[in-house]
Amino acid sequence: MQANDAQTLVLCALADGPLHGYAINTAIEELTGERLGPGSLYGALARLESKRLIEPLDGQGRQRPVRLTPLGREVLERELRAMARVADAGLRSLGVNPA
Amino acid sequence: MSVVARSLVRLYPDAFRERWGALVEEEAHGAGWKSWPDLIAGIAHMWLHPAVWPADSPAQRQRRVATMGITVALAACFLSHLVAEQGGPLPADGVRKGIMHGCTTLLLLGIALVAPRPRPTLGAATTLLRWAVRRLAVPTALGATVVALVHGGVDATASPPTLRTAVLAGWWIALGLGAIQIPRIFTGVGADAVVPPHPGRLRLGVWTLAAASATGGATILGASLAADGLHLLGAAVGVGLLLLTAVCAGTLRDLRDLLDLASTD
Repeated sequence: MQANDAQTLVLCALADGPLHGYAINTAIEELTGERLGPGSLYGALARLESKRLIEPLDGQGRQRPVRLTPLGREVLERELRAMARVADAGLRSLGVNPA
Repeated sequence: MSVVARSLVRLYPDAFRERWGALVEEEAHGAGWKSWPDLIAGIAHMWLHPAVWPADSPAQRQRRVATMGITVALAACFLSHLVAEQGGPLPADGVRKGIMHGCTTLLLLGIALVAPRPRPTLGAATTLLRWAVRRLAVPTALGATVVALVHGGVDATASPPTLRTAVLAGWWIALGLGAIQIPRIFTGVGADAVVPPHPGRLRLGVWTLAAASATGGATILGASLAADGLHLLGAAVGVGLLLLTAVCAGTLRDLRDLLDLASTD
């Protein structure tokens, strides 16, 4: 995954708690400044569900929210730590204080 | 605008549309025409990755991947047959012909590995037979008509060009329809009649299909480019086979995820 990868963005949006599709995209817009296209957003949701990184909550009708599974939380944390390491090293090479 | 978005959403696979279709449509409606390219890319992506579609069980995902493998194999067989029968760029004998025979053998082996197995019950056999008859009746009837016409006195030299073209088109349409309908038999019968192969066997089958389409595609494309002047049909078929290799590569990645999940269960 990469920082701008749709799947990572969806996992980040869900880190605060369960959301439905539209709310996930709104959270991503707040994070990156732009919404994901519908094909990218729901493609990412389908793929994450197939990998069991997210799961739907029952009994909420058509707008069923989804939440991170424990595996999803673990994968997201690993990805973010890897990204942070890369960002840290890159900023240090540029002579910029990462903090 | 919403009519276009709704029409595009209908192009998604059924399983995806039932789970996410209404929400995709709402999002596309809100985003307007600018979302259409992303939507089209999403539809293509979803068709190329059946393992990702919402499923009730891992076995359902494996069955979909198996069907995808058969579809790829039949498409590769169709393309190879097309270039061989329509005066392709390959010489009548020599190393390249041997390579193409090897590719055909690999394709058949790949089909044998990825094909879902019928359950050993009378009910499963009956269901499978019923679906086969339903799906293959039209291409079989069309193909049989063409064969009957050709063997019943249509003289290739004396017949009008329109009739010859119609007979030829009928033959290729029959083969093409057959290639489309055979995978639909497996999607139609469902889990009651067939079981998917084990993920490891499925993976070996897709690898075999990838090797066959890559070798065949490279051979045909190379011969097409080396011929006196570009051989257009051969080049198109070669590129088509290489694209099928890319499809196999995507399927292998999906299978790796399935195997990873199976190992965590």
